[in-house]
Amino acid sequence: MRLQSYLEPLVAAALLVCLPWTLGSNTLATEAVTLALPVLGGTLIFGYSGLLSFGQALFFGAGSYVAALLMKEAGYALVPAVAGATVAALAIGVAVGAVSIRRSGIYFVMLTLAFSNLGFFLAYSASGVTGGENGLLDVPRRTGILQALGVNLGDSTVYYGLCAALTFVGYLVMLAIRRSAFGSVLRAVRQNERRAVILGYNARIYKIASFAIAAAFAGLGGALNVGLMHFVSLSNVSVGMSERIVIVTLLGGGQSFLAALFSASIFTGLSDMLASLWPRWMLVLGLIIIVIAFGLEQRVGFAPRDILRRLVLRVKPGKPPQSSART
Amino acid sequence: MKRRSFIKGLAGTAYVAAMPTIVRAQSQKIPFAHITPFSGALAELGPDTEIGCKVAIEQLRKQRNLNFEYIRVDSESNPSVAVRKMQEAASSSGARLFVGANLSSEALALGKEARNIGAIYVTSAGADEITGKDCTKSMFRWAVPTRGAVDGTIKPLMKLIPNAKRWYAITPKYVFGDALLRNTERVLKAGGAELVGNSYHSLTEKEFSGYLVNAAAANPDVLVLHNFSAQGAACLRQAVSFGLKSKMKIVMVWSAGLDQLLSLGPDNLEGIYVGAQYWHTRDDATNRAFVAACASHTKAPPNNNTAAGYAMTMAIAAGMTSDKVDIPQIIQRMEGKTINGVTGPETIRPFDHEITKSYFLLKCKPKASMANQYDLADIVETSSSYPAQSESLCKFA
Repeated sequence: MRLQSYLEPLVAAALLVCLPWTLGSNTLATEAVTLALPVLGGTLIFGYSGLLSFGQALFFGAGSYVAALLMKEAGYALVPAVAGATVAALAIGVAVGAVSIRRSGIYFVMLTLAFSNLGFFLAYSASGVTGGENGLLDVPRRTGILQALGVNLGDSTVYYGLCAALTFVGYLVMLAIRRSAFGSVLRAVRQNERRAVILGYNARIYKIASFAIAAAFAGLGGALNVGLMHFVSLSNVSVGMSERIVIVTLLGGGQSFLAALFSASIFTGLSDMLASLWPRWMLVLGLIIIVIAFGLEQRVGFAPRDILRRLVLRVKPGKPPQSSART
Repeated sequence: MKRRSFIKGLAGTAYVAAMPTIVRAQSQKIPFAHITPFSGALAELGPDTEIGCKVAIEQLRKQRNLNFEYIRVDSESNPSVAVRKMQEAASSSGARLFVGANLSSEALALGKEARNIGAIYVTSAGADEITGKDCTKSMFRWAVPTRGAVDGTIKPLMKLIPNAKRWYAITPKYVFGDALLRNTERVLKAGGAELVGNSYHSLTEKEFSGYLVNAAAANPDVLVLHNFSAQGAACLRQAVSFGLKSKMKIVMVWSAGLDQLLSLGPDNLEGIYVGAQYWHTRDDATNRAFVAACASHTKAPPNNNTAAGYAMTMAIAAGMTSDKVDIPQIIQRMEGKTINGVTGPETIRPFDHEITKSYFLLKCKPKASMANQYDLADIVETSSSYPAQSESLCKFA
């Protein structure tokens, strides 16, 4: 276990360092890490709280719009704008989580989907603030006080470095949560919520907290995405974005945070590669997802943590996560 | 023998010395990126536009010795992906020349990104903001905007059928639909006609019977369809099924051109008026040469998107005098230039980078009068209408 506790962060760091070379582009690598952040959050709520949310685009989009408005309208530099956007997404996550977790299973999924649609139409309608369907254009990427330290966020390599560093910190936070008492309670709630309540834990508070943390991660990803694109697309808050986060979370197995990083990187790279080879690339991607989904069901799917455990530690993988609907 | 060897050697030396220049003149490649949806919701745009780009590139290679190296970039019908891929094409291939038949939201974001990376981007997207409040020095547009489309269809139709005083519109509730409706109201009011009603529908609507019943109940002389693409085709097909074609004239203000008309077929189309950015039977030497050149790439005549690909590529080439890609200089040379294009004279306006061109009002033929399956309509009016400089919202930063 001791070896594993060091090995996983080292592999994660190596992945993030090598990503621009592996994907062949700083911008593609940056997009991969901005997707990895909501996927880390998705893994926490699905794998540890048993909550399958189809509304993560709401927080990704909220992070994007808040960061963009802070930079464009209020003149903030990128780092404080990103921090503000993350806090805003966290606050929205608390509010949405407090309502949504009152229902479980399919009803929870429907509520998160409804909130996501609400966010989409709000962004669509408030075109004076969000740019509506045209998007929020001309968002500057201001370096701010980091300029004095010789940092130039306008450089794509430097920007990737910042995004990768924040993603790595996010990954370490998730590892800390997994190893903490908080993480243990989340797992207990997922396995048997009634038993956890009888033991004296307020399951509702724990679920809201994990939901809000996942929202903050999605908001952080959305805010960093704005820095990459210099604009906010309405698609950031669409159901399509929620689907993407769910798919990549499930491809990662929903248990391992390292797998979440790998699946976001592979999904982004694979989408880009297939798109350049064949216009109907989504068919191929769909087939790959079907194969992996069947593999996941039988525990032979893509999950680097499992692979690591099998290869290095010779340990059999654990059971797949169960939705709280079944408990 | 010695003298001959000397001359040979001299000639050889001269050839070798000159060779780099000759090689450079013949093979200096200019990265040229075509960024358009090839997958996703608007995947049909890419292949047709690509043919137009390739025909233009072949002509430029032969006629002007400009060796554009074609790079296909799939924007996946997603503005974020489009921007990211523009950044990648610029950094990995050194591309600074971009064209694209994009979604308006893609085009607006790409125009800003082109400015950020010091590139040129020519689009055929429709949003008025492209050459209005969100214009950039790096972005040009080859397409008649909403105002020109309405002026080019409703105005001439009012002259053709002067007794038509009652008009009814069906409009998608969307920025683009609203702009068309606003312009239709303006033109009708100026011409002394009345818009007796309008039915809004959502962008996801597929079934139009409710709106068509309302239109029939209003008993108009003309039904104006502001919806477009698949919705426009579905709405027109259902209007014909309802028998509205025999009770009133029908005009589709913004058609997708030949492909859309082919999908509707002559039985539905006979007597319908249609607005189009391009029509392949336009009779002049440039268009005939273009149609002939496209024949080696596709069996069907070129459509709107093919013409856009060709025209956008030619617009960039109009600013180039050599294979040197100096963006500020190319922009400067493009401004004010008039090109003999496939729709007639096309002029690049310096103050908003609108490439002014003609818009066509077509009247669809009966099946018996068609010379071939593509001979679906005749051009009944050619016009060009753009906001004047005093009305333009474009302010280059």
